[in-house]
Amino acid sequence: MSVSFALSLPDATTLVPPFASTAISAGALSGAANARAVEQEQSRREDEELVARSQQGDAGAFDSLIVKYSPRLYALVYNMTSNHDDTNDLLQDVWAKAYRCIRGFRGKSQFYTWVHSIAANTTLNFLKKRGRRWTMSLDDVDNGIANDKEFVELQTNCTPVRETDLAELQKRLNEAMMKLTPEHRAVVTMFDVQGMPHADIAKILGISEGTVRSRLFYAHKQLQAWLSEFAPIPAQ
Amino acid sequence: MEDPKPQLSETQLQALLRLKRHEQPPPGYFDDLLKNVHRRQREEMLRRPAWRIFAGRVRAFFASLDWNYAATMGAILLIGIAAIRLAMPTTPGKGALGKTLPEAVASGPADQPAAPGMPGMLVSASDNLPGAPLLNLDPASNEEAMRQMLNGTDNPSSDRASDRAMRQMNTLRIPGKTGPAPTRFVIESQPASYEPAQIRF
Repeated sequence: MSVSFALSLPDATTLVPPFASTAISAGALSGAANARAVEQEQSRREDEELVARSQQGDAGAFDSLIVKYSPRLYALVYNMTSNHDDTNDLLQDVWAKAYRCIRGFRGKSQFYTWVHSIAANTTLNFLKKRGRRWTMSLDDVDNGIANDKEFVELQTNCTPVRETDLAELQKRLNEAMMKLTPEHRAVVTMFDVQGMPHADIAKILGISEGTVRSRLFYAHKQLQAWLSEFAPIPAQ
Repeated sequence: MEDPKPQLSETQLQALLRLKRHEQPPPGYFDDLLKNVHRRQREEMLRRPAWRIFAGRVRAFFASLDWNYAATMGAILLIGIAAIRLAMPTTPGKGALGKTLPEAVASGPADQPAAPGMPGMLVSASDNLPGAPLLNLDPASNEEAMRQMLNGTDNPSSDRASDRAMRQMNTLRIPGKTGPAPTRFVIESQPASYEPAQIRF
């Protein structure tokens, strides 16, 4: 089943980016930032405890880490491969590697960064081996997109540009993403899809923040050209 | 003149890419993933070589060891060994079996009589005078034999010094005795006189 909708994109003033909402006051923003920092600290401590228990051979603790991080790793790997079966195989590889190496994890970085770097490197190696052979799997789209706040906003705010459906949109987006080099795709996935900060992406990929910004800039330029059909028609 | 093709702004592109967050696996996928990871872990454990499993167990043992307790037990063990060693009498001439050499010999010959020419043969206690050394070699009587052995002139066809030494041992004479050499005994192929005088750890 495909959900039809009129895709239109609002201009920059009506579109609300996740980390820079103008509608939120400075006080509320700092409160939200504090809450987020506290949450991150709590998560980090929880990870440290689970990692320590895993290193002592507690299989249940390692299972908790799998349950906690698999959705994020799935998003990372899936958006880099655009194939569900490949993602499934790669995720199993990633967790098998993490299990083998967990005793060697010294806690110099966060577990979140460490496991994401395993996933990113495993996927990049896989993509290099696979070369240009690529098949897209479109069977597993979650139609939750239809209820997405931003998506609803997109539908209602502006002039319709192009009639399309969800599967078509997903196909176009994935095709554009797959035209990028794997390194650029990894950066776009982590920054634009997963909302990671530049510093974390740099740690995960083992590159400088400047390189991350540079890759993002060039990837965005290419995507803007390839997805120009979704651009709003300028007012007459 | 044709208008230039409109392009997405940076913000619009980011909004479009954020829609990809909704691409999720089918329900129950993550439960299956956990099961698959468990299955994979078991398979990998079965594929490991035996030495690796052993090394892992040794590492796990030492990792779980209480080092204070182990150090205490080790110290107690060492003190115990030292105490036993100090408490043991160290009588000269006593062998490992707690007998003097003449006692050991007098108690009877070894199961197997000594083969002729074996080194380190032992004379019978009855033939020995009290206080006299068991193997009182007469250097003068063997001088010629020794010279032959060193010069290699005794038997040109034989080039093994050990063989020659064995033959020399057969010519040894016991002081105060004439005639053929007396019966010789060997305790477990080792000369009794070479046995350690005390227990060594």
